[in-house]
Amino acid sequence: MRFLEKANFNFIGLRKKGYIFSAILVGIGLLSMLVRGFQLGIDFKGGIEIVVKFQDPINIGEVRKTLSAEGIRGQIKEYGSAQEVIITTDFSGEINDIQALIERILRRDFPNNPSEVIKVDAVGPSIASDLKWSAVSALLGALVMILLYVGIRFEFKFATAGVIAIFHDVLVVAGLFSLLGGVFDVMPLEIDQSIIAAFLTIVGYSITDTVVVYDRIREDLKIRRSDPYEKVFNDSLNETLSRTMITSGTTLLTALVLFLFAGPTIRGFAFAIVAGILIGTYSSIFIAAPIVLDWQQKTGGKFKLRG
Amino acid sequence: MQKNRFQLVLIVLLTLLSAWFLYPTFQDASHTAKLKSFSSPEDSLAYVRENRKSIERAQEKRLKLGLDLQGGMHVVLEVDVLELLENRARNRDAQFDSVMAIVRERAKKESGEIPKMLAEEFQKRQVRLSRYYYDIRDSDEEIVEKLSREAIDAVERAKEIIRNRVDQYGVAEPSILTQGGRRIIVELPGVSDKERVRKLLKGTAKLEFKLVRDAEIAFKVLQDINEYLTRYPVMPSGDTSQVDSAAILARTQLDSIRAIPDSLKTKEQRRLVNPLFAVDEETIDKIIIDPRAGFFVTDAGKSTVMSLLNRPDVKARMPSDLEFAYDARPASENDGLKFYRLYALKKEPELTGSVVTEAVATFSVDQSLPEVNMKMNDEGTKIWARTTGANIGKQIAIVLDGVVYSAPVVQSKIPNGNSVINGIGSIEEAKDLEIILKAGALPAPVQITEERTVGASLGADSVRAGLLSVTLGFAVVAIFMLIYYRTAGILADLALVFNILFVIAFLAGFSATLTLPGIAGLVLTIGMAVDANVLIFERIREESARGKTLKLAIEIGYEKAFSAILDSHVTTFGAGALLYAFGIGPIRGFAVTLMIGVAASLFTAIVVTKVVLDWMMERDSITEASFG
Repeated sequence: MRFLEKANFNFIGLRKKGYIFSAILVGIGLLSMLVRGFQLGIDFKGGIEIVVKFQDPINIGEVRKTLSAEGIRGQIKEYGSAQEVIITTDFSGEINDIQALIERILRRDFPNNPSEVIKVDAVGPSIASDLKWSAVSALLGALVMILLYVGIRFEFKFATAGVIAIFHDVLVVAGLFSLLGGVFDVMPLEIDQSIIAAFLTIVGYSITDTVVVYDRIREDLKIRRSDPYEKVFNDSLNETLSRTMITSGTTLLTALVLFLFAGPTIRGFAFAIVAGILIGTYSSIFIAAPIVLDWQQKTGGKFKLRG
Repeated sequence: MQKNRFQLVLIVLLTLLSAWFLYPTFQDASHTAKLKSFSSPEDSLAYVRENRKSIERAQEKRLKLGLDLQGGMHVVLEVDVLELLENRARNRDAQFDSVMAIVRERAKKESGEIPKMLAEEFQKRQVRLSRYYYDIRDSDEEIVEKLSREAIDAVERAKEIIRNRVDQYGVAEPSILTQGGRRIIVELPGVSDKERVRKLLKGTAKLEFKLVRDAEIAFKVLQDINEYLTRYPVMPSGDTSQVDSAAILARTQLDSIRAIPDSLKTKEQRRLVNPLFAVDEETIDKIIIDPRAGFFVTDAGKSTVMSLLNRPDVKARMPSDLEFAYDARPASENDGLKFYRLYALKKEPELTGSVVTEAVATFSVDQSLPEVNMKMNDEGTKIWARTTGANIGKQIAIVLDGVVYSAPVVQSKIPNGNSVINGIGSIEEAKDLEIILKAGALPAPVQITEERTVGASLGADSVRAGLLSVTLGFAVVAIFMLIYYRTAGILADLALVFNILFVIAFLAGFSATLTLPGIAGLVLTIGMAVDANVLIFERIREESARGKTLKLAIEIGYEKAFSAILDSHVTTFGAGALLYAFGIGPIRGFAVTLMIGVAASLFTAIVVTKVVLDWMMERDSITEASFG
């Protein structure tokens, strides 16, 4: 089977449209982050999450009513299925008291539908601020590392454009989380540790895609010294297109498998990866390489590539 | 085959190494299956005795499942270093207390070292630490260093005590570590009784023997507080000499209500003048006075009543050697309401738990109720004899971590240093008390600041979901590669099988734990690992389309694709390494699988496929059509 083998799309010609499209995406995302902010998970804001599993499906409204009548403040939502309920409250060291209270109320008010606490996550405020700091350090560290590595392997412009593409990808996915956070009951899209892991995976994936394109550009630039840069860049994008699509496709398939089958704890993570692969594939074609080209044409001169 | 000898040897060696890494996991699984098949406990005991060495070795070296997959508790305890430092200070004054309050707030949000925070706050106010700590000639730096050492010592001691408790409770493969200057991380696989474990970990085990004050004195104090609370329902702020007009109005109104005889007061009036006491069925969350039996509070009112009694202005009115405490368990139950007795105790304990040398959980002889018998050392025995001798006919409360377990009336002098804690709910609780008393008291209170607990059933669900995801993820990618690249697809799939094998084997070999995010990492690795082969195969197709011979196209394909493969793998590996450095627990598991997967794919996708391709070339069993 062959697919996109003799591709000859005018990607470079479309790059201005790509910039505008990206600017809109990033703009919407940033606006949403400013206005709506994020749904922070307890990892980053602190709190207690208790997941209760009932024997039979339960009406979430009734659970909400009976628990809030007893003074349990916080969010009460379905968790993955109609049998499971997640209760999120403020943090306190007395986890036993809270758990005992919830268990007592549920046993009293739903005597025919026995329930069991299957998961407890509690994060105190000092831990939450530590985790926030770690997340920021990890993301910034990844960007600096990539800037250095790609800068050494290729050239500064390539590295910068690659990092811009990463920023673009992470911002778009983060914007999506901000925009859709709390909209779907099955998938709260809260920012927690696993989402940071997803962001770092997206960073890795995005730069992988970009580097493959760069590698081909570097090779073609060496062979075709007389051709205009625009043509060389566009041909390189087309030559790597089938690989880009296939690898995105296989990774997307596995991410979809995770999204559908790996359970509610992984769902937000898998969603981020799916979105990240789509946007990362787009950006390696329409953002990273075109920026290098435009930058080079602005400053003039020839590429001095390593490797 | 000649030219690939080195590669072949490498593949065989790595495969053998993987088998070596994975063997204990299989062994462990077969032991478990064997043990399950026995019908009688004697048989399984005999089997364990016979194979102890092999079972233990397998358990130690097998692939470990994370707490999120096998169920268990991950608890981060924070040692209250501040309380320790507070108690160490001399010449404490109002300024000291206010700085302490500020540091306490900071410590809740920041994770830095407490002694440093303390020094910073005092420096802001131009106060030298030597005013409160150590020698007056010491510099701030010296004191911070000494206090830090004390704090670290306390955390280490707390860790050892908690390890003792966990060991006695009986958890297989617990892990207990200190982190930073004030945290202890406890990992307990497979525990199911969360409540019990939390109590066991948190219990400061501060045991005290305190005299119970006479009921009349207690009543007088409570009455006085009640009267005071009618005037100041909330704590008066600042200067009490400035009374606002609304308060004066309320006070004259109250006086007129008080003038009415009790029997003639309306319900509202009675409630108004009794903010602390229950007057009817609806005010049951306050203190209930039973003229014959004493004072009681229901579970609904426990915390409100105690917070009223602990209000600083209320405390200032109480005799300084008196304090209130509740019963550990309800004295009586009625209509689903639990009634806890409220004790008035002498604040200074007669004796503390440090004199206890032995503790045994047992059943009482007469009523066979659970209790804990204790023995004291010589010094404790002496004091205990004197105290009991001087207080015959009075009650002595046995107080553990601020709650009264029992308050027996002293019948006679106890000369032999024996004492008993009764009023315990169950024999399990008595056992836990025994454990806590034996392991000793914590140097400072500990609080749970983080907990992640997964029930065994949820863990099993996650294992199932994870296995399904790996299987499906592998199936879709493998089938896709077969359809797209045909024969070459088989090679890529073979590489993928090796990749998965290496990842799992090296996880076991590095004694890393497999978590649900780790499984997610494995599934994603499956998707990404074929990338290297896709790059190579696409290049081969391209080169042969340009008219190169197949042999040359293959050589060029592998050569030209290599730099892109290397760059992309290095960057992904780097992202994984950062995630590992900054992540915790399950997320680290994701990072580890990602890193191993990336490194393995570099080998499997390039070396394994090339060796097989060369072999096929030698046999002429490959054509351009083999690449789809």
